[in-house]
Amino acid sequence: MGLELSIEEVARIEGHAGINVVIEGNNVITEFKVFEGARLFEDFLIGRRADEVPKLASRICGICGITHSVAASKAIDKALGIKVNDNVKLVRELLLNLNIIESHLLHVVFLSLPDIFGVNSFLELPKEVLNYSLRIINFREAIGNLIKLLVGDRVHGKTFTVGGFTYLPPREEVMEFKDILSDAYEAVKEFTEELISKYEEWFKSIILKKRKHFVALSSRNYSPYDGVVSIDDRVELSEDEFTNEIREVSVTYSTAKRVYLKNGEPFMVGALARLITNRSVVPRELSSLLNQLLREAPEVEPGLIPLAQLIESAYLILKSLTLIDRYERKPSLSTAKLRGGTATALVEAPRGILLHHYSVDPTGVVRNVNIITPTAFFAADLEDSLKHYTLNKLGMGIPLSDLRRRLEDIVRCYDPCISCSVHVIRIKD
Amino acid sequence: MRRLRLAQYSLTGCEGCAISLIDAISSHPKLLNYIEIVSSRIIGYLGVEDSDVALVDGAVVTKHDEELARAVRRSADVLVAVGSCAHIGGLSTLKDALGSSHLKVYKKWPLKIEHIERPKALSDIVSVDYFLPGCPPDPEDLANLLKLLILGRRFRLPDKPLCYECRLFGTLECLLKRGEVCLGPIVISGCGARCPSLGAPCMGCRGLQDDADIPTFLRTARELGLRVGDVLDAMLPFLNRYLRSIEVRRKV
Repeated sequence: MGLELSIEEVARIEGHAGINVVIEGNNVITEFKVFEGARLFEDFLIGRRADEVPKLASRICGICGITHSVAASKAIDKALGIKVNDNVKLVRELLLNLNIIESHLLHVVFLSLPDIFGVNSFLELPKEVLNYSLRIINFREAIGNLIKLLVGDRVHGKTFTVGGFTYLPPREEVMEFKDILSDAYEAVKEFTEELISKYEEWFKSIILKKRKHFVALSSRNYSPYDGVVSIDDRVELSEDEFTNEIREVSVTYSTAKRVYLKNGEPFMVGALARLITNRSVVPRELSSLLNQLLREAPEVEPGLIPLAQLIESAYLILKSLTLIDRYERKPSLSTAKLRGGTATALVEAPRGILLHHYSVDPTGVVRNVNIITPTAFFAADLEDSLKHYTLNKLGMGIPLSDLRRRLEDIVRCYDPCISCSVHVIRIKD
Repeated sequence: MRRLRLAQYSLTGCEGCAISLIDAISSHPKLLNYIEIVSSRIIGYLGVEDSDVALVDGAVVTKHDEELARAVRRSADVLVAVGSCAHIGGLSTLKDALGSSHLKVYKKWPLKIEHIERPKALSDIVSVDYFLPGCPPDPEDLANLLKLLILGRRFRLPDKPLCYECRLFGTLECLLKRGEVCLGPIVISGCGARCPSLGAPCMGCRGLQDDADIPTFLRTARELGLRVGDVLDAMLPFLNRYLRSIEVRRKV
C-alpha cells in the first residue's frame, strides 16, 4: 500500500500551488500542482494592437511585470523590424537588472529567510535579524523607486511602447540614485557573507547531489537583455534555435505547463544557472563567495538558489551603477509605424529565461502569441528535485512531518512565480 | 488600543496588489504596531481567519476563487476590493470581451481545475465595503486606506474625472487633442494622472468615474477626429464591463 503526502497550499510563494507526493516502495511520484485560475494572456493578446502589448503583458505578473514589458518590447520591435537606439537598450537592460534585484531581495528576505529560522513569516524573525533585514528592505524600496522614476510605476510600467518609452526622466534625477545603490551593494554583500558563514548548514541540508541540466543567457557582460542561449554552459544557441531544442507538455493537475529538453530531461534556470554560466565576468570579491558555495556542491543545487540570488543582486547593483553613468535622456522612437512580422525574443527574468513570441499582421494587430515563463521552464525540474529529495531521505528514515517541511523549503528555494506560469495555455492546435 | 486584525487574500491575478501590501508595510513599518496580520499566503499565514478588515485582490475565475470570496465575506467585518481585478474584473474579463470562450479552451485540456463560466469582479459575487482602484494601487494609497481604517474612519474615492488631475499635475498637452485615445474624461482620478503626465494615454485601470457619460465621451472623441471603434477598443482591457451595458443600451 502506497503512502501519499499532500500539501494543499504552499505559503510564502507567489500564487496558488500545492505538492502531492505518492510513495510506493522505491517508486516516488511528485506533482507540483498549480491551481491558480488560467489567465489566458496568449488568448486575449490576440487581436490587440502590437503597441499595446508591452503594457498588457506586464499584467501577467506582479513581481516581474517590468521584465514582461521589456521582453514584449524586444520581441515586438524585432517582429516589426524596428532598430532601437543604444539608450533605449541601456534603459531596458537597467530595468531588467533592477527588477531582478528587487525580486531577489523580496524572495530572500520575506519568503525564504523564515525557513532558515523555522518561523512562519518574516514578522516572526528574531529581532536582530528583522532589523538587519529591514535595512535590506529599505534598499529594495529605493530600487523600486528608481524603477518608478524610469517607467512611472514599480509593478506595471506606464511608459513602455513600441521602439522605446513615451517618457524618460532627466539624467540628474537618475544619477541621484547612485549613492544609495553604492550603499546597497555593501549591505547586500555583507548580508550574503553573513548568511553563508552562519547558516551554511541549513543550505547544505537540502543538497541533492544530482547532476542537473541548466539553461541561461550567456554574454560577455552578463546582460539579461542580450546574449546567446547556453545549455549546461556548453551548447550555445540563438533565440530561434533554442525554441527547436525544447518541448512543452501539459499535465492534468496543473494550469502551468512543463518544458523539457528534446531528450526529455528537465532543466534549471535562474540566478544560479546564470552565475555558473557567466561566472568569468563576475568580480573576484563576489565570485569568491560563489566558489565557496560551489566547493560544497559543484552542481546546480536548488538549495543554493537563495544565496545565488543574493550574490547576483550584489553584482547587478554594481552593473546598474555603470549603466546609470551612461544613461542619457534621448528621445526614443515612439511613433514607429506598425506593420507585420514574426519574432521570438528571450530575456533573463528574475527566475530565469523568459520567452515571448509574437506574429503581427500588416495592420499592426497581433495574430499569434506564445509566452514561456521561467516557472514553466523549471516546473519539471522542481518536481524532479522533490522526487530525489524524497527518495534520498526516505532511505534515511526521515519522519514524514520533517519531509513535508523540507519539501516546502525546496519549493520556496526555487521561488516559483505561479501567476506567471499559468497563462501558458495555447489556443491554436 | 486593540490591533486591527488584517487579512489579505489573492484570487486569480498577478498578485501585484499583494506585493503592494508588502511595499506599504516596508515603507511604513510603524503600521505593524496597529495591525495584526491574521492571514496572507505571501506573508506566510494560510487559511481564512476572522478579521476586522480583509483585503482581496484578483478576479473570480475558478470555483475555488468563488468559494474563497464567500468565505472571506463571512469572516470579515470590512471587505476591501484591492486593484482592478477585484474592483472591475481587470484583464481577466478581457477574454470574454473578445468573445473567446473559456470552456472551449478547456475541452482541449483535460484540466481538473474548475473554472466559472465568466470571470467576474469581487462585487459580482459578494458585497464589498470599499474599493481601492488601480493596476496596481499605489502602496501609498494602500497605507492611507489602512491608516483610515485603523482610526475607524471611512475611506472615500475621489469624485472627479482624471482630466481634472491632468490639468493640475500634467505637464504635456492633452493627449486626446493630440489624436491619442486617452480615457481620462471618464475615469476616476486619484492617481495624479500618472500615465498621461508621462505621455502615455490613460487605459482606465481605476474604473469608471461616477457620473461618466460614455456616449458624450464617444461623441467628443469623434469630433476630435478619433475613430469610435478605436476608443471602444481601448476601453476593452479595463472598462469592458461598462461597455457591455452601454453597447446594449445605445448600440453605439
